[in-house]
Amino acid sequence: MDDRIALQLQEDLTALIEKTGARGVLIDISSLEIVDSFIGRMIGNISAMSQILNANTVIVGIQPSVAITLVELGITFADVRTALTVERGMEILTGVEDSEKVGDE
Amino acid sequence: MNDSLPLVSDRDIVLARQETRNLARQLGLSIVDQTKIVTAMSELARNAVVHGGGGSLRCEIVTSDGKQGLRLTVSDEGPGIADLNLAMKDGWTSGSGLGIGLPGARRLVNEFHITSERGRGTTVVVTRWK
Repeated sequence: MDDRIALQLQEDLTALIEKTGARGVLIDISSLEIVDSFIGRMIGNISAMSQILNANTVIVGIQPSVAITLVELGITFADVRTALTVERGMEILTGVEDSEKVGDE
Repeated sequence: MNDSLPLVSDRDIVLARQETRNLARQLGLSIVDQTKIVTAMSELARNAVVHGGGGSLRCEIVTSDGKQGLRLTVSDEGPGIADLNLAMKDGWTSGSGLGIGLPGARRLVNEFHITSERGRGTTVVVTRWK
């Protein structure tokens, strides 16, 4: 993934959230062999932007070697929700959705 | 193997990552070590492209005391870094980044040498031993 694609994703995703009214965003990064500080920042930004647009974001599929490298690099994803797999990510998103509905009633 | 790759565009950074990954794999570095050196290279390459006005990457397998390692040299002929001590500090940034590029890259390798001269450019040499 080059820098421009990462930036484009940020724009496309926020536009799509607005258009569809999506309440959840699931990003599978299992195909990324590395996440450097630039891509890490993009992921954090996407998560924060989605949150502001009232959509929860879950990042799934981070490879173990990428997790080790990220922490040594100094990126902890403290404000980013993560899950190991797409299935678990979906569980988080639908769980959040359900509990919020209950809260609204 | 001794190669020099241009670092001018985003696309060059991607190609440089692939080249570094191939050599790291060829050397037999573990997946974690491969990921570390490629990530460090990506940080340094981005610095060269964004702050150095473009540069180049040299990748080589080196031997010392019977150990083998992957050595990367990223150099640019940009404005140089005014205060190296400051640039190596976590959280310090000259722009819009997170300020973890250089200190983060240093943590991902076994050896890290940086030289910079104002108006002349910056060269960073990093090595990850097997």
